[in-house]
Amino acid sequence: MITLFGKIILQLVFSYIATVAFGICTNVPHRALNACGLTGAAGWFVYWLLVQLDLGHMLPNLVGAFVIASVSLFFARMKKIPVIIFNIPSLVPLVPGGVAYRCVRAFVLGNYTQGIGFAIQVMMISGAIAVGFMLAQFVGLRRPVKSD
Amino acid sequence: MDERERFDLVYDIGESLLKNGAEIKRVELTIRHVAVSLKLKDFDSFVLINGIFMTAYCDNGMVQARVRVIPISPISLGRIEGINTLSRQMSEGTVTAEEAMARLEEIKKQGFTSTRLKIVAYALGSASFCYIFGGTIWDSLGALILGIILSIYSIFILPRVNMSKIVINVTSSMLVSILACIAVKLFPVLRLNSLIIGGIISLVPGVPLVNGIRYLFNEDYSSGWGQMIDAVVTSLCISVGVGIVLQLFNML
Repeated sequence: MITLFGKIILQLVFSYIATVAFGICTNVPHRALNACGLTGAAGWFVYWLLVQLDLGHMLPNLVGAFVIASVSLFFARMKKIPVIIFNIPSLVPLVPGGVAYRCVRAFVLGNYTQGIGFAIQVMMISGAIAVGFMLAQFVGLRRPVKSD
Repeated sequence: MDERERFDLVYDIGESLLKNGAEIKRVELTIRHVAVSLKLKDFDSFVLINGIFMTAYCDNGMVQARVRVIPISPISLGRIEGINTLSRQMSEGTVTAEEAMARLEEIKKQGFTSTRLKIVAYALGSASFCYIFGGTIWDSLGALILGIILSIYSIFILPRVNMSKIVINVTSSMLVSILACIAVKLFPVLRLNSLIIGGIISLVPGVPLVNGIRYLFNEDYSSGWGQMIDAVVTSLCISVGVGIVLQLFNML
């Protein structure tokens, strides 16, 4: 039980740090960094939890992206900063950059079957993330603004 | 300010947004709002991932047009935020065209973080990604050091030599994997794959890949494919760099 709890804390802390670090590398304004980290940690935590429950890769990525998009919409409205500032750094733990690299590496080293497997995985995961984002758009539909 | 200068200002705003990594939709919407606030007539635009086409009618019956290639370059989110605020203030009418031009120049030159903080960010980022992608604590310590070295290479050495993006990616990933191989030889506790993944995470094009798919879903096919091919070429370069080193390492 304690090890599980410790694992959860470590995952949260490291995903927070990872997101903030990427935020600094992409010049996110400093007043938005904390919110960026929280968004990233929330998205990664949901993804990690679902992966631990053995739900494969598609669904966890979809739900994780959905959480990231909703939380970053929330922060964007609270701080009046464009959504993209929050969702690009927080997406980095989820996006299949590592898998894309492994895929091309397999091709370079001549393991074609493995490479094709990874390539399909990349497409499916990025598709899932894109769908998660689209679903979040429905949550974030603006109430009609009063025209004056 | 005459019509032509206003038209150029709109183009400049669009170009800076696109260069710093804004989405196509945001660029289109922003330049349309700015054009309305600057009273350009019949303004039309077509934004691609690496270029903007713009036209507007002049008072003397001529058509203004402008096209330029804008290479895909690294993301800088702080500038997008600055330009977003600027364009909102222009639409509200609180900023005049002259002031906007000065502000835009300021935003373009703005520095966001000190070099030291950037190196710390690279190092901590590599370490934490290494951990959450399944490395052990020792692996992330190794990745921390790789991150520091890679950041020093990309901040201090790369701007001095004029190299293409392909060469930059190949050399950076080769550097990371050579160091990782040496580290594994010296300390057998470390695992090569985790180390390399942690070290190259700042190079790997994950976000462009997802953005590409999102453009495709938004029916923006040419930009979507452009972005995805860019991501594929980048990961190809990284893998070539890593692959060469790994094969040499296996031969030893």
